[in-house]
Amino acid sequence: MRAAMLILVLATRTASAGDARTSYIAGALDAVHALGAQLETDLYQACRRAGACSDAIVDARCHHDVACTAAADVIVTNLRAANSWVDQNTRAQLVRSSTDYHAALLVELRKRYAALASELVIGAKGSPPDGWAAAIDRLCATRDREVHACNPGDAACVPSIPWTRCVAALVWFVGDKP
Amino acid sequence: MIGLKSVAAIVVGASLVAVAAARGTLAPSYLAALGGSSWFLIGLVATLLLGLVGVGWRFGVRSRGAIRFVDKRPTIVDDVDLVAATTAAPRARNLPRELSFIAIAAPSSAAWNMFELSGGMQRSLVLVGLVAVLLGAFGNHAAARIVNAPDEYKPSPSAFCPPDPDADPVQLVMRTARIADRLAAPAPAPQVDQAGCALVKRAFALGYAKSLGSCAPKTVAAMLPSAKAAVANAPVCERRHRDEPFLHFAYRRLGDRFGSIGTTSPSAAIAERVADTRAHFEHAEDLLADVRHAVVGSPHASHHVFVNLPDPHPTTVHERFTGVPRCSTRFAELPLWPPWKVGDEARLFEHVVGQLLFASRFGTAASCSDYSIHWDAGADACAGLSADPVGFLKREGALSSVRAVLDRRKRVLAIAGLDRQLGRTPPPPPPPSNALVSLACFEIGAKPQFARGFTVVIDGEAIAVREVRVPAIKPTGDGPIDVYVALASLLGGTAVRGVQAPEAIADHLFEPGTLSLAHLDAALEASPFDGARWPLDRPELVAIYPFETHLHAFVEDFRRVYLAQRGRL
Repeated sequence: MRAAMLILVLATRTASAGDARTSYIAGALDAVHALGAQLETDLYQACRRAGACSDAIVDARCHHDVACTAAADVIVTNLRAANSWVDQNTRAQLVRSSTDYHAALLVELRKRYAALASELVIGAKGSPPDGWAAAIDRLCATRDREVHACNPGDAACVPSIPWTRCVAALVWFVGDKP
Repeated sequence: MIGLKSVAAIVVGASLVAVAAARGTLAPSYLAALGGSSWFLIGLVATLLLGLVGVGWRFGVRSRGAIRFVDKRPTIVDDVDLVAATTAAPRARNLPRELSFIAIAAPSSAAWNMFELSGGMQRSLVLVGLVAVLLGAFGNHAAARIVNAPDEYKPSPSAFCPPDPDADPVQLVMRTARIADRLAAPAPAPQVDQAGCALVKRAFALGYAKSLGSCAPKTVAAMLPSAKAAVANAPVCERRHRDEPFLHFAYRRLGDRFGSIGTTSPSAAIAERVADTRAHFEHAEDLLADVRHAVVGSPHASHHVFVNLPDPHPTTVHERFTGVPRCSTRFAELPLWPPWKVGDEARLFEHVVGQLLFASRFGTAASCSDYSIHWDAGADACAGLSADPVGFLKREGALSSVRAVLDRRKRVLAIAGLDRQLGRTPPPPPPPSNALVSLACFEIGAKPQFARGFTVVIDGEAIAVREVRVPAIKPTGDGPIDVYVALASLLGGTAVRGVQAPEAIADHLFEPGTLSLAHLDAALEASPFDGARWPLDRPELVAIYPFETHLHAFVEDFRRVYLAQRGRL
């Protein structure tokens, strides 16, 4: 009986965590769609000046606005993950070949996000019945369980990535559309 | 009546002409397009064939049979020469032979009453038929192929040795000129401005940077041929020389094959062959044993893990007849982090062994056929091994494979010695016995103890034994991490990552309204193998935990250490 209760509690907790993730993603999609690229540029510059992103930088920019904080969360996560998305050789190439490294990096990141988004669309087979937020959560939670072996520098191949970075990339790519 | 030969000549000629006409080879345009080579070949072959046919046909001899119409029905009559012996009327061929000899003409009349074409006419008819058929066979394309056949079947230039460049004065002059060109000072390479290097160059010019790094001017050094290397590496041509008769080439090849009879004396060649054969006889046991190992499929390595857990896949009655599944099938697609429950300890243990050694998702894997897990081995397996290694391995069914590997290695060494004795280049030496055979004990329920090792001697070879003791296996929560760490230290020694003190638990990460991707990303970045295990006890985090990232790093580290210690025959 106690074991059954424990399983029930755990299942409920897992289900509620899934709901929390989905609602978070839905809110982040709306926030990114509303605030867009300007917030990304501001946060990038602020983090660059400070040497690292911190909650203080986000608070200073967003003033505890819920939507702004949600969009900033996605942006900061993507900034943290940029080095794992784009390998060192490609980044060095960007430094040398472009006048604006940040803009060039965003273009490179967008290519990789697009490859991941295509997995989302193919997996959803059109419009997902429970919404894009649930589809993003489902893809990112299960994608890492399969093997994704990529050759170095292959922009069309998305390697295994944690749920957090997968969600941030897809929310940015889907939500940043005009 | 008409003679059978005349009938045959007409039928053969007409039918062959009809066939040729049906194939279109008698069309005026086709005939006009035929070249001289074709006409010559047709004439030649037709004449030869006519000569061959004429031997059996005997155009100058009258037919011995004839066709006659009796009551408007054609009837064959035979043996005209015997007509003189009888006066009976001609009879049909279906009559008994003795009654069918009929008179075609009375010999006394000195004239034949049978029509027969002259020999020349028959010959002409057959010749016309042959020519008609050959018109189709020897068209312009076929004639051209036949005419060019000698060139087509000439040996390829690649079958000959290339000409010696030093022997040809023209080649020598050209070669000298090429070398002179290369030795001349190269023209200065144009400087190419690289994007993004302006600031680096400026900093270098002002002395702020010590080197230009990747912005340094790139020049391509001329590749000068090394004459010494070219002479040293010039291969000996064993093909046929351009001016070498074929028989001499064949003799030379035979000489190469049967002991250089062309350059050494026959007695020396025979003595060498005898010594060679004697050396093979002396190593006959090793050679035969090597063949036997290859035929019976002896293991290439033998690694054994003894654990006091029950077999998670006990052999069923069905499997006793059909055989147990191959290990490669069992470990082909291991899930990354399956949910375990209490009672799954043996399956968890097997899963971790599979992930550490055989899962291809983590890069280079070991060969699972070289490994055996001995279930229900007892909690004091290593004590048994230490006391009586051969007896213990025999009881566990591991002795035969261990001995097979050791024997196989011994044979490989012996055959390498034979190669050296015969002046041949021996293969690379096999790995040491310790890399080919290993024994490990995973003892559960004992006082915890880090991996320790000792050696036992089997058939004169020192074999390493490792032992690790854990108090229990916990299949839930972060329990599998303990199994990973313990097994990695057991198999790979103590050089794998150890467990550090756990970090502080971040309880707030998944509370309603506080979910933050950036915080979660930072929190889950810490590896559970370094002590950050708290997410594994929380189902809501296990669902999104980056197992692939952490397991990949851990297993990759482990294999880098472990696979360097192991080898295969």
